[in-house]
Amino acid sequence: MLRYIIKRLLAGVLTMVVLITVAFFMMHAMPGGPFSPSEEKNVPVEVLERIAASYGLDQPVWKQYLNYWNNLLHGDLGISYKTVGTVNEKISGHFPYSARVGGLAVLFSLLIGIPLGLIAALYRGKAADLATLALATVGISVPVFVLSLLLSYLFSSKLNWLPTYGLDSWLCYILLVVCLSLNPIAYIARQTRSSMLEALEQDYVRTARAKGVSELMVVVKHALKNALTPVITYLGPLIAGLLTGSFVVESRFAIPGLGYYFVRSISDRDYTMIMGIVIFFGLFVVICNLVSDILLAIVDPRVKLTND
Amino acid sequence: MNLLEVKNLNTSFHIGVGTVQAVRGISFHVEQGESLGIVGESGSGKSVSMLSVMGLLPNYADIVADSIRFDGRELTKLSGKALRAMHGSEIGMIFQDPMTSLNPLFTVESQLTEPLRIHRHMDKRQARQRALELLRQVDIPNPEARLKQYPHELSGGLRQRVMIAIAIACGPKMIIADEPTTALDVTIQAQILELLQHLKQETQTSIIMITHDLGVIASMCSRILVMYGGTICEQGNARDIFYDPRHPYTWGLLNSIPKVQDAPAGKLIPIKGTPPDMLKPPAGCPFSPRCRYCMPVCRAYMPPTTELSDVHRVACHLMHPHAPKITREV
Repeated sequence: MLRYIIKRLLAGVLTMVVLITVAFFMMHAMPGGPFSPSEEKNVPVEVLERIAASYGLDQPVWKQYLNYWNNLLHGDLGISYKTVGTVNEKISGHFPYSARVGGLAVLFSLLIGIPLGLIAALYRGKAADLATLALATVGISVPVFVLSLLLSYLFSSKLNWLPTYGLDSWLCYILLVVCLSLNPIAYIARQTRSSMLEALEQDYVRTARAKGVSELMVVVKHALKNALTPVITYLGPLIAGLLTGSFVVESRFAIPGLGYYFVRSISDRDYTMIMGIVIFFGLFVVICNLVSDILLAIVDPRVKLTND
Repeated sequence: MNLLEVKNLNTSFHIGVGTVQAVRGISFHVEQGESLGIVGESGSGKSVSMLSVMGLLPNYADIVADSIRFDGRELTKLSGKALRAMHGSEIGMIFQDPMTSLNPLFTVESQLTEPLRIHRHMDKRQARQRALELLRQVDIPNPEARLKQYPHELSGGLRQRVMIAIAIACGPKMIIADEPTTALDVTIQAQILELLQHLKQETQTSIIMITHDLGVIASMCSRILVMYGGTICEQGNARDIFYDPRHPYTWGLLNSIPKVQDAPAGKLIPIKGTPPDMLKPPAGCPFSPRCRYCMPVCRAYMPPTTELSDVHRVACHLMHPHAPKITREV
């Protein structure tokens, strides 16, 4: 187990090196730059060049790349070019907003998605199943920007029940969490339903019934535990995706989260900010996937955490 | 005394295109301490009839019976809860495929102690102690280590032994074994049969052995039901079925067993044709389309049951006094 984790962490480091390299050069390959004359029209060219030089941007790209690594290995993500403060400060300052909203959305997705899928499977073909299917179809097909606009129009503008923006009260979280979790709920419900139907047909479920196990325990212990393994696999990408923030939802509801700053940093050509957030997101994905794989091995003893 | 008595059991499945009549009006009984064999080919209704008795069929199955009495109680009138209290404690079940019959996510200990904790209300320690005894009883070496293992770490034969241990955990009055050896290697088959026989002698449990293998039946069972097309076509003591069979289907079954002395020249004689479509079973004898001795009456009317002795009964029109006298060709 420990050897496996170490091995996976080493592979994660390799992933990160590739990610950083590719992101760095792609970013520099984009036309324009943080202080290019085409973007800052009101500032004299000589001044822009001086600013760029002060950040080391006049050096060849490979040299900048090596410098970046040097700083990175000292734990320094650099100074944001276009906002006040260091990138480290920016990430630690804005990540908590995304994490809080995203964490709630993960919890909400699991607490709603799994029971919905379970009920749909148990009442296959009945009203509850069809309603879940309808909800799942809507959840998967309606894009989050449409959903967030519709919901805030209805509940904020028309009914005036919920605030339009900000995170000042718990009421603000309702729309945010609903918008973020509808898609995962749809996915989890569908996955739980289909794997639950499969599990209920299995011979070991019949064995459990032949042992006189109560219907509730047959469903919850013998079938659901088996049915949840695909959901656990999905958990890694889901947590990584939701906790790191969604640009659409964060900008729609004016939340100072990381997702919002990530997109802004790209349009700003804020190189250090882009790299910082790419590295942070990448690390998050690597760790979440590792955790969900370990979790799966704990639940399912047939999954071997081997070295190959 | 009859431990189990089933009268006029009918089981059908409603599926999209119609109704599959898997079991059509069978009646039988099992005596205390007796081992009853049920033979028949796939789809003859042997497993379904037993699962109907247990109430373990999915809810789209329609089970109708005049009476199913087990140990003095009428099962058709029992609540789900009362039935569950019997499952695993008074009736144990062993299934065909030990690879899929155990839950892959739970240890042997968890699965083996479950019936003990449910029915005997044992605590963890007592249940563990009893589980060790049970594993020894089914001849599993090194039971302490086995308890901690998961099904995928055991061989097929060991898994089936674990299934048997689960079935006998609470000292049942009856064990239903549904093709318990079909999925196993021949050598393991023999070991499992020996084990079942040994347990039966030790505990005086009744066993219902469902199989399509007459060899298994011959070594285990004192009385035999031969099923075809959801009906019982012949029943009797093992001696009746093997030495004085009367139904052409039973003849066909016996002729399709390989005999050592015939090899290599002797040929097996298969039964021509395919089993009946249970969506539209034939109006008459279900075996009539494949029967060499089929008469017009066979296609039109279900044959009545003729009692040749107290136990030997045959459902065949050839038993009618006016029917041609046909003897089995061997």
